[in-house]
Amino acid sequence: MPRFARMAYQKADDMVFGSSRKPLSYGLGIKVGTGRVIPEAKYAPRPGVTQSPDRLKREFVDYMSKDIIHRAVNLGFPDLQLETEWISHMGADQRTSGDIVSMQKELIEGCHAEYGINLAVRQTIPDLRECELGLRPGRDSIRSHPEQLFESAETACSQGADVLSVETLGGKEICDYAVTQGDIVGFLFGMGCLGSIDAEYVWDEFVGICRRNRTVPGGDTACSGANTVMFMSGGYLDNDVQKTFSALCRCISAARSLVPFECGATGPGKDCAYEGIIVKAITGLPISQEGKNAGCAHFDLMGNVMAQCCDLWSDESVEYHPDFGGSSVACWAGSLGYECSLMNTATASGNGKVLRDLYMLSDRVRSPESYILSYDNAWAVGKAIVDNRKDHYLRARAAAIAGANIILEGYRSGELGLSRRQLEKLYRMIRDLESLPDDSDAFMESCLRRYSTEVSKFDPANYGL
Amino acid sequence: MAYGISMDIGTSGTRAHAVDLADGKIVSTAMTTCHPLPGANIMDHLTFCIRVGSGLAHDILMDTVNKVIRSLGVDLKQVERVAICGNPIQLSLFQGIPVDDLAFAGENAHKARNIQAQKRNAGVFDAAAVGMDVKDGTELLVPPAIRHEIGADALAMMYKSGFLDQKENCMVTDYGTNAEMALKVGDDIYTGSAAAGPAMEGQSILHGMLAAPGAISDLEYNFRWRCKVLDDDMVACDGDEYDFGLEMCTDEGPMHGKAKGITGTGVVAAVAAAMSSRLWKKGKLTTSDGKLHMQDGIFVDSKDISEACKAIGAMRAGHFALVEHAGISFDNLDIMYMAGASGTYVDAVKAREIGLLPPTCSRIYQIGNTSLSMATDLLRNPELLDELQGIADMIRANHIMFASDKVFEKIYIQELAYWDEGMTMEMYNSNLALDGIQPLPKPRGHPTVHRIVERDIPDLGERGLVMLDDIGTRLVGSFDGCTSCGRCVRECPEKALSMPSDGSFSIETKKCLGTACYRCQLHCPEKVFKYDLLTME
Amino acid sequence: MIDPRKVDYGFILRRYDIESESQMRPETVAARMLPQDPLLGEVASSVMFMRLRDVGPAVSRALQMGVKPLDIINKGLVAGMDAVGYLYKEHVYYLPEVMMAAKTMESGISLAEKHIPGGRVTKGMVVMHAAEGDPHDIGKNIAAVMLRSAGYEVVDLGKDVPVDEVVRIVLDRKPLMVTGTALMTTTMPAFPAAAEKLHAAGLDIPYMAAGGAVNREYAESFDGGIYSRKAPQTPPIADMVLKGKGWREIREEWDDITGGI
Repeated sequence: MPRFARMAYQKADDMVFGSSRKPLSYGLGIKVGTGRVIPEAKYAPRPGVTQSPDRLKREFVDYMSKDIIHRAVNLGFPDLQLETEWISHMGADQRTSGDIVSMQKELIEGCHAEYGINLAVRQTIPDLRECELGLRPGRDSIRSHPEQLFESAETACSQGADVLSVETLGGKEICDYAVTQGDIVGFLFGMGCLGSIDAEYVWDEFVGICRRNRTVPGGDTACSGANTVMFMSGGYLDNDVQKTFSALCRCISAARSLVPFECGATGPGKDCAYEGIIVKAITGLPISQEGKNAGCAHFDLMGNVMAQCCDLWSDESVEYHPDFGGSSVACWAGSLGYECSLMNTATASGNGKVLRDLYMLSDRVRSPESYILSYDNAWAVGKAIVDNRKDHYLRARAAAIAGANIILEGYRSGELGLSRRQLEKLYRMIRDLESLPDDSDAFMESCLRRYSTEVSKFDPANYGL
Repeated sequence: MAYGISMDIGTSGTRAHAVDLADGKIVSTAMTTCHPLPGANIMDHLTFCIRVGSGLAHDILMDTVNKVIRSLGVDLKQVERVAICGNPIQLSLFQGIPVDDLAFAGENAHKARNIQAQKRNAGVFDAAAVGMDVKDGTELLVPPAIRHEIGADALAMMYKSGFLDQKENCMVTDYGTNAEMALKVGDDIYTGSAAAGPAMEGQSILHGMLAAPGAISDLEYNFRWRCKVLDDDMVACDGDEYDFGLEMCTDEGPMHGKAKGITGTGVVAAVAAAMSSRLWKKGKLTTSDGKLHMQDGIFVDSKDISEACKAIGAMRAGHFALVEHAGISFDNLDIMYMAGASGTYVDAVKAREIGLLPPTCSRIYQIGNTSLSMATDLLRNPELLDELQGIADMIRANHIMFASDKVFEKIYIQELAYWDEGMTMEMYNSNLALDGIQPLPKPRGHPTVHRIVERDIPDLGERGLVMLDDIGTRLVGSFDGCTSCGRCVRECPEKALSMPSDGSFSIETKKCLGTACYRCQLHCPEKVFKYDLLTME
Repeated sequence: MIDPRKVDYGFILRRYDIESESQMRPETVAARMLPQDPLLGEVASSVMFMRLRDVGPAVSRALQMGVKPLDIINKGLVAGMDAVGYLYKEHVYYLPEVMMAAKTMESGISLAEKHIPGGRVTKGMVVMHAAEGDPHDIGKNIAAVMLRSAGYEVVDLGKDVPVDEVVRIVLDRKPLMVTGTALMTTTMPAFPAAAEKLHAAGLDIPYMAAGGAVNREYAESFDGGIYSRKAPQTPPIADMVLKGKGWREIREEWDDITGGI
């Protein structure tokens, strides 16, 4: 597997929202990364309807998708991407899922013909694999979840998905443990190594499925690990997980989320784990991001900064219900589109970089996470990944160390404030990371030994180890 | 040592094998890549016969045939048997049989010209007598035609593909300028012939060319479109990669700078790419300049795509009409055999996607040049001739003349509106429903494609292949009243016409476009240039 | 302030409201182009919306109520077809719809015509055929429908029509124009042959040559010859002949006449 060896952007300042080094066209007139930021609307059905296939189809297609498209047309948005995140049991009901995909495709074809709005649908399939049962085909004889994962990809693509994404959960058992223990080495092993191995295993196959069906392989985000940490680190009132820890998790996740692109995925990448900016700096591929306009689903300290270099701007997940301004999904899609409009106006008037910097500066010192994701710092983390590309472990560790040093420097220079506990955690993590061996085999060996006993669910065979 | 020669006389070239009759092994192969007569398609050749004379046409063709067999590298005195195959027009030209029954269709025209329909049954003739440079008495085996547009070549595609032995419903098509097609349902065979036009051969396309080094022969999808360019060994190699939606080159490949044109298979890929990228709307490419740019200045424009769409529309309407006449549902048609050079080299998946194959076919066989291979079979086993005549007799019953077929016409009108006017497939189907015609399903699933042969001619023999460029002849003449102004020479788009001395003209026949052009005659300011009066050098 | 003139709003938003206003819909065209009279309106809309089953009753009703048969044709059926032609030109309707509407119109005309002593008056008459020896006449059939829809009478001689028969009928009927189509290059010399005979007989008539085998250069290579690349170009050319333009003039103005079709 070739690894990214060069930064797509020679310097951080070259990055701006709406444009990417490797733009892409797909769907019905969608051109991503060519200057214009595109709203990406996501939605979730009401819990009550999920058991009936017919009601589920109607909810996804006739209610949610149609509402959103109509809102976009009503508000004059030139482009719209929908993202259907399959609810978990859709993985087991391929027929219903396939119907939803093809009905959505039909819907957007009709709306594109009728209104001229540029449209595409990203289908994000569920990864239901359980490490206790087995992560690879043939290993889970009880629920066949690994088989289902690949079947879902085939169903989504063959029924007309414009973009395929997934949030693979390789390494989750270790990451979950590491988060509760505040163990950065565990996260490095779980996400940086196991997550990368699993992502490679899955995406090698997915890229082929996509190619056969002319679906764009959008990529993967480290939702199950990095997003969980972010959720737990929360806001200023939350102290269970230190935000310095969460920040380094983002750096490590970036190394892992490169893997699908090394397997041939083309982007647009996914938003959920907020590592996209680092990935974009390295790959030059278009990314979807989320922040303040995803307040319905996520709560974090990076509401503005995440917009700085996005190519698609997402609302993450909106549960369908009536609001005063219309259905929830339409309302949130409207707020997305207006934000995109603001960004695009900045671009059209020659102020793109000004707005980018305002977005970034407004959050820059809000937390260590927003600090590390500010595009200049994110670029530097990317550079560390590229410079240490020899293997999954070394580049993920380099990302974490680079991130830690940037935060420390920011603290020492007085730019970034840290709480005592955040700082203590940071020092501790730097010590842990720097004491790790430079030899990958030695690292893997010690982790395999340690986590096989500490985490009973962990089975190295799930990763071909 | 006794040799046999098998030949396929094709519209775009003649191919021949020398075969050792003792063991049936192919010894050598020779071929030309163009036809010696002026023009690019059978209509041009027929017109030449009608206007200039079929005797002359026969002489020009035999001149080439003899050049081809002489380059096989065997002693022609040792040739005992010759077997040929091809479409009825080429076979008639070869045999010196009148072609006016093929040049005109309709009783009125036949009556007015006192035309007798030719039988074109299977037969054994004298090869030397038709003008072949072999010893007297060498037998010439000619397989039967099925009827006037469905010739021995169509029989070959049915016979050699396995179509006739297939128990399930199946279809076979020889992808060429005139697409012969046949559908088999049970014991019934339905045949037709769709005038697809020359786009499938890369002709009538601005940058079109025959397969040769430098030809873009395919576009490979890898989330963008990668040009595949034929290298000097005719292997398709990576050229530049394009995102047609963004109208930009996204990567340069090793074949960058080496493309010279695009083949028919490349045009099929371009149509698939344009459709897939949603760039074809209401009969026009919606890119900023109305072109689909590929590497090295090669592009296809709306007119090119439109030409290709006409071919696709005619073929799809033909396939569809056969399915309707057979009274089966598309759902019951699973197997497709693709014959001819285009049928062998085209990406069958893309071809199915754009409509060149019935959308339900899930098993596709690409079977190569069946004409030459049937002629070679005949050579090895002359008794096959009777069997072939029997098959040909059986098939005569269910031939559908698309030109006068109402079902074809209804479908073809939908095709025109779909490709040229941007009518939707939903409307296409609902319009057909009004006439009780089944809907056209969308292509579904991933067909399994069996490339039965690597090349359209799989076995070249131990002495290999000789390519002949130096074929054709010259037509010469002068005209009363000619002022030697040279306008005709300047008008010739192929530089086939020259004026070696004042008032005397010479045309290189293989370059000449023939009746499709006639610019020399049309532009003569004195109106004295008469192409028909030229004679063989 | 950022200069608003420097902002390309097309990049930021789309005025779907304005776009949809300019988008043609059959209903809005109907309101504008079809007759206000309810009886004629019913006749016209049955054509415009291709309701083959409704056209007979609508025409009968109008006849019963005393509407003149000629008005039923010209202000009802033909008006409906004019709207169809307009929608076709605007890419709202497609070829199959034109064919179906024409079929509807013709069924109405044949009903109304019975009540006109001496038959109806058309814009003019065109003789059409496919060349001797050529069985391909789909293109001609489409062009015939388009001409009829545009208010012309068509004398369709069919396919494989001998040159002498074309000449005889044209000399006899004296049409505005004669058209020939050929898909086979072998058969197209029939056109100059027939045109020459017509001109020799003193009839300087436009002779349209069309069909897959024919190109513009060929069509314009003989006296009288004019070209039509595709069926929808035929009615506007006929309109020019009707205006009194000769074949020489039409050749000169051909690009303008057929422009955009």
